[in-house]
Amino acid sequence: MQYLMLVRVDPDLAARGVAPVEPWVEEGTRTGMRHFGNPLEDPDTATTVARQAGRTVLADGPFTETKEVVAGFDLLEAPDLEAAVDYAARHPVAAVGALEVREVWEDFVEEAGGDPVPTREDGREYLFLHVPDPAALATATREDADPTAWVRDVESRGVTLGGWRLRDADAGSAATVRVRDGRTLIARGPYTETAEQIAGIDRVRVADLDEAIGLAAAHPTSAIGRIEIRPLVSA
Amino acid sequence: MTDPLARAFADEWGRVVAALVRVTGDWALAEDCAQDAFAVAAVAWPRDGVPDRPGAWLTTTARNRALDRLRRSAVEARKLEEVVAVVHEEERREPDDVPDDRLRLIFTCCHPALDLDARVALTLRTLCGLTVAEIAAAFGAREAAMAKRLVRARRKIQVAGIPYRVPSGAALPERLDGVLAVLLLLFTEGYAPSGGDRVVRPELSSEAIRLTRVLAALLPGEPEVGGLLALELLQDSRRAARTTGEGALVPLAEQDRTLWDAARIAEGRAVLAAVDRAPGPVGAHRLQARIAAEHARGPEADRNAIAQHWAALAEVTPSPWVELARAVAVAEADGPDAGLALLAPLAGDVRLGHQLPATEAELLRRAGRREDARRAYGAALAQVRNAAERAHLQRRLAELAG
Repeated sequence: MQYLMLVRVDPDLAARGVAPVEPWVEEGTRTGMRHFGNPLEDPDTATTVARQAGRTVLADGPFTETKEVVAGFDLLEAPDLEAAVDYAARHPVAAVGALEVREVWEDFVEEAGGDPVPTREDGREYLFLHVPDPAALATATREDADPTAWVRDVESRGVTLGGWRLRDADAGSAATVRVRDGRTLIARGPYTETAEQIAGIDRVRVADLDEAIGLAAAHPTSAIGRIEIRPLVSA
Repeated sequence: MTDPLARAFADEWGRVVAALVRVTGDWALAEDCAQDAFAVAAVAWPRDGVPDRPGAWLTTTARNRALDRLRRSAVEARKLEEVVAVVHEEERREPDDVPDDRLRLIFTCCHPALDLDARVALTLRTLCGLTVAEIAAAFGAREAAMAKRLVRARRKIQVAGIPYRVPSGAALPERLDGVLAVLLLLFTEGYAPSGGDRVVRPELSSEAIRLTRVLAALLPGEPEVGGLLALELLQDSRRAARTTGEGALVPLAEQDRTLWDAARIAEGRAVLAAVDRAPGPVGAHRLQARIAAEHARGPEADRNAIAQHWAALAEVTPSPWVELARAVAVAEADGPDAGLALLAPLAGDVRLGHQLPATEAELLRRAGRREDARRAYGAALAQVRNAAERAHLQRRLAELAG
């Protein structure tokens, strides 16, 4: 099963030094537990998109003011949540921040038929963090929140590098891991410092922020909540 | 005669920075090199005379500085080659053929993915050439905080990939609205600051007018830009009459009209007339300019027309502030009771701050309801922040007591 791991850390603490991540990445490559992952540029470079009354509303910065912000993500492969959590606990950020491990909802959007359009190779990469408003999500119809049309569109344009919906928290499909004073602390459920949960991510490659904003504004999440756009740290 | 360097600074700073941002893609480098070029000019021009084309001279000097700095720094060879190629390409062109990049710079500085404060600060720094200290002083901020805000904004442009481009097609009208909002905010901060002790900060208004002129020249087909320019000119024409020698606010009806700037009024009217024939729906800036043009006629102003323009504005941009102003206009046209009736639905709207009780007080005073007016003035005084406006309210309250 696939698990998305969100790396959460206070940028001030991270700046003071975190052990190198390479041994953890090598372990994941060797064991097949890590598909890929990427750090994100700091939250000062974030843009939050929402659609209100037909207008696109932008905010400068991340959607929430928690100290521990999403600083990177990794897609993990594990037989169950416990195994994914066990691996996540060895990530160096566990000592200063938190690793949020979430089960991927693999059949949320049907696979497209036919030959896939090749992904563009120029441009910039961005990560979309989907943050639906809990109240709006509760009253939204399945059609309101269905991203299938959007997914087909980004596939046909060759701008998607994948999207992952996350299972609802209360299904026992999530855990948040920290290591403090050598002890591993595991909290059941997703990251609890915020009322709003990240419901999914999309990775896109587009020309610039304007194109990314256009894509985010067209996604159903921006009508029932917000999408935080974060540039990926380029290799 | 004006100092040629000072004039070149005002005219050319934005153009030089805009060209350098395009060539180097590095905002901080662009500003530093523009600064260097003006410093070189300060020595060379008095000695060798002012060049025929001061703008081209400054851009070339700044560009060469940028190349020097890039060569000295550990910049990638590929990046340097790109910059050199662009520079050589431009050196082969006729000076008049070099593109004016200020429009890109304006749209990028005013990009909605930047905080409004950051947009205003960036516009003043990169387009107007105000120093960080000047911008900090204008907004009552500490210099270090303002410098940090600018560094963060430039970094976001670069790292988040905000394009250096004029938006096209359907995106242009919406983005242009955002640009005009920044210019109007700049003008308004100069004309009616939100805090502090002075009623006007003329340097900010002048910068706003200068930039709006540039935008109007670069986008001649956009009537809202002309509308904003006309609005700014017409408002600014009353600047000298808006305050007493002691800095107290003078209401429009009590202003000494001999202090109004007739040339500015004439120019504002001409700009408005030129864009007011444009077909299609009339936008907010044109409507406000029409109102300002009507007020500029002094006692001959058509009060009914003003009330109608405010009603139209309330349709285009519904907001409690527009409703408040509309109530005042209707009171002028149809008497204070008609205005008070329009204020009633606004009761309890905290966004209006002291302005709601202050307006209410004024209309109650005119309606002869002295006791109610006194109470409303008291409520307004409890909330007002600007010292000059406070003095005005106190004077009114004292008049009622006497």
